[in-house]
Amino acid sequence: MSSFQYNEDQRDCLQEICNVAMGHAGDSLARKLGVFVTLSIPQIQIIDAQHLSSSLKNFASSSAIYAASQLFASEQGAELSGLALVMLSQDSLPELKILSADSKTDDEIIADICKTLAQTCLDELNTEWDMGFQCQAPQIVQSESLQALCQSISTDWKNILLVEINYQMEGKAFNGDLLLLFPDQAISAMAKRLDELLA
Amino acid sequence: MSIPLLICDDSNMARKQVARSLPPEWDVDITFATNGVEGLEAIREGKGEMVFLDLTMPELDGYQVLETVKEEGLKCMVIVISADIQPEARDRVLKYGALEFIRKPINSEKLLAVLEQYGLF
Repeated sequence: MSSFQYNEDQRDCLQEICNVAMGHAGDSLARKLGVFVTLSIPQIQIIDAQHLSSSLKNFASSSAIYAASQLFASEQGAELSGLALVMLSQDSLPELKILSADSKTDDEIIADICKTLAQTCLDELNTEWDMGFQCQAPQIVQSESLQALCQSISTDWKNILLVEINYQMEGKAFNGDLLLLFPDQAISAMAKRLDELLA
Repeated sequence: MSIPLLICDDSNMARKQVARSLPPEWDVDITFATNGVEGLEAIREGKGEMVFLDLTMPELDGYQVLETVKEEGLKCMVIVISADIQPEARDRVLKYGALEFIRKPINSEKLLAVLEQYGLF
């Protein structure tokens, strides 16, 4: 845990905003694959960037071997930027291959799921919260590169606001996490936005 | 006589949004619950003749609350207010006995439309 933390009202407010955005992303996934998506409560925490790697191991998709990331930034200012990371458990890919009838490569399937979850979630944050987030194209993160990605973030960022949203599918082996990672300057900028909402 | 109204949601912000969206002239006696267990206790105590219920909650989720209400034959009218906007989620809660489903985020227009639709206000 970082020494810098949101107060309870800020955390609750952000959690509820993410809850609504998560619902839209879940619906998008459900419609795309013809499944019922089981949602859980978004987890919000601010961690010391050095602890990112160990934090990722605690998530539900901790057997993650498939991942994709998308950088995003707000058109309203460079301080509002971050990284969306989608991690999928080992069993998720075979399940996705069965569900997505078309003949895509593994990387295409993973990138597609990343886009569906991250893009929909960020679009809804824009709608709800007028954040102006715009995403770059998803990049596949090989399992051996996940550690390197964490190290790179730890070098550049001091604290990380970590939003974890877990998605499962009823009756399927799919288990995925959408993680939204925000660096220091975004943590402060978003705290101001949250205070405005709470006023 | 005031209608016992229960707002059950784990988010403080969401509970406030529902309370703020109620018609100001509606004569209700509001109780708040932060999870399904607290919500069921309040319903059993008669504090939820009318219930606004979230689905994704700790301890006991909204689906489990609806199931228990049905099993125990508790007298209440439940309107689900949730961010889970999958059509299947709506179908399930209606099957479990909810009167209606409203998408989050709630506002006074959405809430009033449902209350008027069912002659509750």
